[in-house]
Amino acid sequence: MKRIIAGYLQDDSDEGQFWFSLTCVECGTVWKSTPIRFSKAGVPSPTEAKQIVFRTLYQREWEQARERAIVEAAHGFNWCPLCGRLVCNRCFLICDDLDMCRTCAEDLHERGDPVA
Amino acid sequence: MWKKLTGLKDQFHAARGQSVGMQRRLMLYWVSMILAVFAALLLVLSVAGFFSGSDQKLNQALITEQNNVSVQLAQQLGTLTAQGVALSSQITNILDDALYTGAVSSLNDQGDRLIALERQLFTPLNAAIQSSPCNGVFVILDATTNTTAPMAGTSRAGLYLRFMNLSNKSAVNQDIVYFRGVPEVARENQLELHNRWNLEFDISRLPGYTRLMGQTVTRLADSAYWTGRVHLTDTWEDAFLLLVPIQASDGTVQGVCGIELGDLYFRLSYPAYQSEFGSMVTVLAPMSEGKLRLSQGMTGGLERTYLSNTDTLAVKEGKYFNTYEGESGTFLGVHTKLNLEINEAPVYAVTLIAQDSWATATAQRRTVWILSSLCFLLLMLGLSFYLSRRFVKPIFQSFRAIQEENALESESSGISEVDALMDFIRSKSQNQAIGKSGLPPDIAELFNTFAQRAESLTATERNILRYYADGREISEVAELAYISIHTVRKHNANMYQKLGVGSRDELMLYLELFRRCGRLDELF
Amino acid sequence: MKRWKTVLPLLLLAALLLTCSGCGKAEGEQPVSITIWHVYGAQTDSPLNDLIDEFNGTVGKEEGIRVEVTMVSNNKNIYEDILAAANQDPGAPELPDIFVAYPKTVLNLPDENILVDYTDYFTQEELDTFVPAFLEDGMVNGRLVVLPVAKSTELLYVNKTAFDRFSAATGAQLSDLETWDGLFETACDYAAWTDSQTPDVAGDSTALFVHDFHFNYFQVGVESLGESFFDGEKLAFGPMFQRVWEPYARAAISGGLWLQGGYATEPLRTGESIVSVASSASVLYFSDQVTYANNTSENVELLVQPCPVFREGSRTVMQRGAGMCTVRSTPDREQAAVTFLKWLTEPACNARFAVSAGYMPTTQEAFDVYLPQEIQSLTDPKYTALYDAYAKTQPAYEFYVPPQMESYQDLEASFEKNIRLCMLDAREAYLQAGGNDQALLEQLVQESLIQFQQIMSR
Repeated sequence: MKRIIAGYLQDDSDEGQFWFSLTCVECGTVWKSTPIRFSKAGVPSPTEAKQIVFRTLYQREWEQARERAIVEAAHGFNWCPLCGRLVCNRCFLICDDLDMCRTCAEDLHERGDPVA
Repeated sequence: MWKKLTGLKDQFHAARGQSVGMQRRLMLYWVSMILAVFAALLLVLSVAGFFSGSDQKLNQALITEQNNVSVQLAQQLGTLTAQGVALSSQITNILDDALYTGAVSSLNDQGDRLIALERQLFTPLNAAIQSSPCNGVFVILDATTNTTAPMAGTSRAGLYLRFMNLSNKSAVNQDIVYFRGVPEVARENQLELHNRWNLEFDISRLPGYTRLMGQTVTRLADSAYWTGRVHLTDTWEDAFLLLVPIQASDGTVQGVCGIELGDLYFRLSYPAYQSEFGSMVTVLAPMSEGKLRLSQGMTGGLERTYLSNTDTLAVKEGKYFNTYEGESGTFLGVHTKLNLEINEAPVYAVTLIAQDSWATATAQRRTVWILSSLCFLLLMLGLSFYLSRRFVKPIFQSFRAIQEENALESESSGISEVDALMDFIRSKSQNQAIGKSGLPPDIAELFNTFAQRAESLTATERNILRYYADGREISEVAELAYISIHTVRKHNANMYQKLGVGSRDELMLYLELFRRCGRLDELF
Repeated sequence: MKRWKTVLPLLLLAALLLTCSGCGKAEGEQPVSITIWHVYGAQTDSPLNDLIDEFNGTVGKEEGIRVEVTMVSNNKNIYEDILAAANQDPGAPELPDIFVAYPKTVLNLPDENILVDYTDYFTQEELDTFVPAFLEDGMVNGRLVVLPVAKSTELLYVNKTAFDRFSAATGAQLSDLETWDGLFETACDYAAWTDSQTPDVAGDSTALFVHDFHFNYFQVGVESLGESFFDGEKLAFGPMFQRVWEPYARAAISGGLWLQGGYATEPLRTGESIVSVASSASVLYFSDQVTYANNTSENVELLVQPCPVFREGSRTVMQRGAGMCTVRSTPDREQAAVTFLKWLTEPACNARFAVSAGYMPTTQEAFDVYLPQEIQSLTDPKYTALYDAYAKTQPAYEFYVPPQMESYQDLEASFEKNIRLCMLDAREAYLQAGGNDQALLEQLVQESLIQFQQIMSR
């Protein structure tokens, strides 16, 4: 699941903070992760060497933020076993035999309640 | 030994009780089987005479060799005596022609006539040495070439031919050396003179000569006479000499002819036989006063023994073989009397073997036997250990499977009885799970209700329930089912409602109870 | 089970001990028997046989070795039997473990690798105890296969009792025998003198001189005169050969030289000749007694002198003495043979053996330390005379060792046979013409040389 989410996760980060988003392919709702501030945001880098340190630090914190974002996203997104798309809780239906996305449920005439 | 036996008894008692391990029991069974086989083997071997005394075996080996050798010896001595008698007759004929009626002594001081006579005598002597199983022939005439010479009294003319380079008794062209006689005859026949050549014989050194000369001969064969071992003066050789009188037509004895059986020739003729018990030596020697006198006899090849050919051996008779004790050691053997006398003592053919070599051979045989039987026993014990272990292994495995509560999944053990036992256990445990007998009625009711309710779960819910039964957390379930945690929670809510539980803890308690009762399968 | 675990190793150990003790005994109980063919004594009481008895009773007994003599003969016979055995001729005897041979015998073996290379068994230290030149003689194709145990040389033996009678009658001097020319001239005189003893019988002269190996006379003679006797595998027949031939042939045709076969000891024993050149080892076979045809015996004094030489040549004498070869067999038999040989060549034993058989020892220590002691303890005048002659030869002479040639043995045999036949022919012709024609004698000397050369170059 995490791998699938990681594949669709979009990076909206800038120099100051880390920020990721994921779009439900069903309804187009964009989910945004909780932004995380870069620990050295706004701190001026006096030397070239320091810049290299900062850059590496940024890269590391970015990866941590991304991991968090994936875990966060896992609360709101589901993978449809039929069409293989990533949809938000609103667009994912709990059906009798198999949970699936709204579109698949409509196509197959299955009834179900959305998760949210 | 007693300890071992009581130990064995204990084991037996234990085996009768139920507490003895399967492997141990089987091992005991194997060991007793081996011991039985071993005992049978011992029985067969002892019946077959394997242990019945290497004494008897040595006796057989000695007798076989002795029979061969004594026949050969009797034959050789017989042949030589016959040759000696024949030579004597031939010489008589030559003398008759050469002397007409006169006695040999008429040749005294007649050098030329003696040369002429020796020339004639050379031919039958040469033929005799070439055709007889011996290494020397001689003729002594009762005459001397110079009666005025200082030693004339004991000096007698004659011829003595010997083989020179005896390295092989059966070689075709043996070199002949000229030991006694006029050198002219040697040169005419291209013979080398012996290094200790002499013109005439010294009869004082020839035992029995005087006795034969004084005899009146009725039958030549009866008068033939074997000396004991005599040393050939100034040489390194000893020999047996056969003396046969030479008879004139009027019955008087005119001289002596004979045959030499040298000790080297004898050694080469009778090499030691290398038997399984050691080196067997042939001896031809007179025995008197219970003593075998090798110094007066002949010994065959002495390879691989310390026997000295001058020893005197004291004879002690035994059941299977005799013991011969002398300075060069103690020997075992058998003897046979031959039709021959030396110095009025009967002569025996003897086969000897060193006691030490026999003892070593026997000890070696015993060691080989002990070692091989020990190896056999060890091998068998090892095999029984391995087999019993192999036999018990599947039983143990099945047992372990039952202990670890996955008897239901365990595979076939390969032993039908064990499989049947396992099937029985399996069915029994199922019965126990389904049967209510083991649970109080209210709890059983609760179980049944829960099981019934579980039937209303959807496929997805049942799937999630199985994840919980396997001990998964919510986040893991979401991950495994590719759904969001919210979705899982939604399902949870539905499940709790359907199953009539209030919390996840309650659900987990049910699952644990079902598992403990082995009824988990009822839920899925 | 536990009890078994303790009992089993114990049983195993016991069995192992039993086997080990069994093996150890087995080697000790039965001695290793080895056979030997040697030349030391021939048909007489052999000194080596006595030493072998001593060995069997001492070192042999300790080490489990028994040496058995299965032939005592001469080099020629051993050579023939060894070849027959090595070639596995029908009826041939089995090869002995040790035999006595010259390197030339070894060269004629079908495969000399049947012999042990002694460098495998002797350490360099042990080999260093031998006189280096003697070891050199035993090398064949780079392998030490002939172990020198005793060396001999040729010496002049004189029946002094008989020579004195001749000297008294004719004035011949013992000093005449120091050169070959003198010796052969004396031989001619002796023939004439003995012939004159019985004026009624013509041509019944007896020989003064007998030589064991005429081949050696010519070989050493030619070489001592500075010319090569051999030309490759054949004889050279140079001008010096003629020089050596002439006095020899003159004596032979005149009847002063013994021309029959056999060893030199024979005619000396019967009084048919009174001077000989023979191996020092012949001393064993010489008798102090001469037995004449009329069965009377005479005790004689035997004089031993260094070998005659040519006045204008170098003082050279033949070095003789074969060595011991060991036949490859099993390691324990080879080891036993070598143990015996090491014992025999220990300096003290080596000197004792050498002196008892009329030889010189082959180890340096035996020469320096033990030989003088042994010589001092000699009581037999024959032996004392022999070692006196040795002592005179040693510093004054060069020793000549025959070359290693494959054809040597055959060349020697045919030379010995043909030269006697050739000389007997010439003597016959000389006797037919009356036996006193000097011109004919000289003519026969030259003719027989040409004839002999023709025979030998065939």
